Amino acid sequence: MKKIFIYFSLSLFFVGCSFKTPPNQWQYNSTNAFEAYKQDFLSSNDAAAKNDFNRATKHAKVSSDLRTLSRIYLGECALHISVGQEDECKKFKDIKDVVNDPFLNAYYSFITYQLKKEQIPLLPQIYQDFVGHVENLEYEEANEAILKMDEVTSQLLAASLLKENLNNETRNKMIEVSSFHGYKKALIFWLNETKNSTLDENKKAEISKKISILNSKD
Amino acid sequence: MPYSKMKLAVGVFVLALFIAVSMSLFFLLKEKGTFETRYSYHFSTESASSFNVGMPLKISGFAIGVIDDIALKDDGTVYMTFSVSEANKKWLRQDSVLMLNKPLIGSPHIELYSAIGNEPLAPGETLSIVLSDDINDMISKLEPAVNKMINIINSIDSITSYIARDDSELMLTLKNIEKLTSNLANNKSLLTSITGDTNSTQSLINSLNETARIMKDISKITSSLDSDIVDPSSSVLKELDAIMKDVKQKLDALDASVKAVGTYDTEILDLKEQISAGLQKSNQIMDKVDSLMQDEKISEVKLP
Repeated sequence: MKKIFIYFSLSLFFVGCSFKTPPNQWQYNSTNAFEAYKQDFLSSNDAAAKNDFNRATKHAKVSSDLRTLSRIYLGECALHISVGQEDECKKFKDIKDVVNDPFLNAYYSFITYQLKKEQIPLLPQIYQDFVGHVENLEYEEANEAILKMDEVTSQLLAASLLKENLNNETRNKMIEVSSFHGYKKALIFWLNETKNSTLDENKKAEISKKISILNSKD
Repeated sequence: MPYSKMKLAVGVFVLALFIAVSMSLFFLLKEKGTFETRYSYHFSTESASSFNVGMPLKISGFAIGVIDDIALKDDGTVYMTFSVSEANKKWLRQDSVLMLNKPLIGSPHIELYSAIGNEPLAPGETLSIVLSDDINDMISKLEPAVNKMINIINSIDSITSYIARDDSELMLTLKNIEKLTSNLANNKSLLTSITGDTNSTQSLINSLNETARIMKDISKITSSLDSDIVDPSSSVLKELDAIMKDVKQKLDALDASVKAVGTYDTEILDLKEQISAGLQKSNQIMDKVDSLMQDEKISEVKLP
């Protein structure tokens, strides 16, 4: 019996030792922390989001390869824009010359309304259709393209960029997906947008009440 | 990995973990002697104070058993039961004696004085116990010495009060010496008989008178010195002394405050470092949790 126990413990020990940490663990840690940041930021868990972001940047700052860091800065800026917060992506702008990544530059131009035609192919595939329609001033098609996007965060970002030309269906969809995923920050932004775009006083009052309930600390 | 295989792997892992934990627990308890047979013995005392269930029974400083039960009997005595393991049963012999030790420092315990060589004591037998109270022993030993010291102090007190009395022998002797010296100064014939010459006696008396006059003058000078110079100087010095004392007190207080501030500063720095280390550790845990929470392993930050 003792022998069995010893053999079993030894095998467990060796199995435990066999998990190898990858050499670029910092990159995984940084990416994971940023994923947590996205969730916490959109869910209005600001303290946790701050910690996640600090961890993400801390891990990214251990290497001279600053692409991860620049993606974090750009991602943070995009998230701010997706919930209606003004952001000029200063952090990314400060290091963009050092990184000099055409894909990231295209993304930066896209979220700051400075996109050039030649940069469109460098954008992530998910935005290609949307940008094509916006370029041709086909806003109804652009709205549809938003609804067809697979990623919720991409939908929120694209809708925020097109907020002046958004239809009610897309706005309602944004409220629906934000509510479903518990993205409080995005939800409050889209509730406000809907309130400002509607002329129905009853609907305005109803939305105001919802916003006040969401913002109350009771 | 297919879902069914994953379920099987998880099941096997959980089962293996359960078996490993159970076996570890079993061996731990076995080593602790939980499954060993224990043998009970008894003793009676007048009082249960200083005894408690779980109190160790030692031999040569090694714990060999514990008190399992304390019960009050109908005659007012206390009946106690203790048990020992199979391995330690050998120490309990016929005529073995227990002694309660209450050391000045440390917890009380029962010491077994085994009569090695005698027949082994059968389980369930009753042993006799001797109570040894180290603190009370010490006090009782100190009592005569304290009494003696009190007697000595009383004697010194009576001697000093006797000496201080006017009719004490020491006081009478002093008075006689005073009388003798005054007579010596006034009586020429006595001095002449000592010196052997009347002129010398007169000179001696003159000298003594002159000395008395000089002493009076010196006294006057010193008294004027006292009032003119010494007294003001003394008052100034006293004031200066009071000021310096006050300054010293304030400096002491300031020094304590500076030291305290320095200590707080160091403590705050230590605390800051500890908090920082704690945060780093918690961040590391959060990194691990994040990596466990992510569905897939990706090394590139995914933009919204």
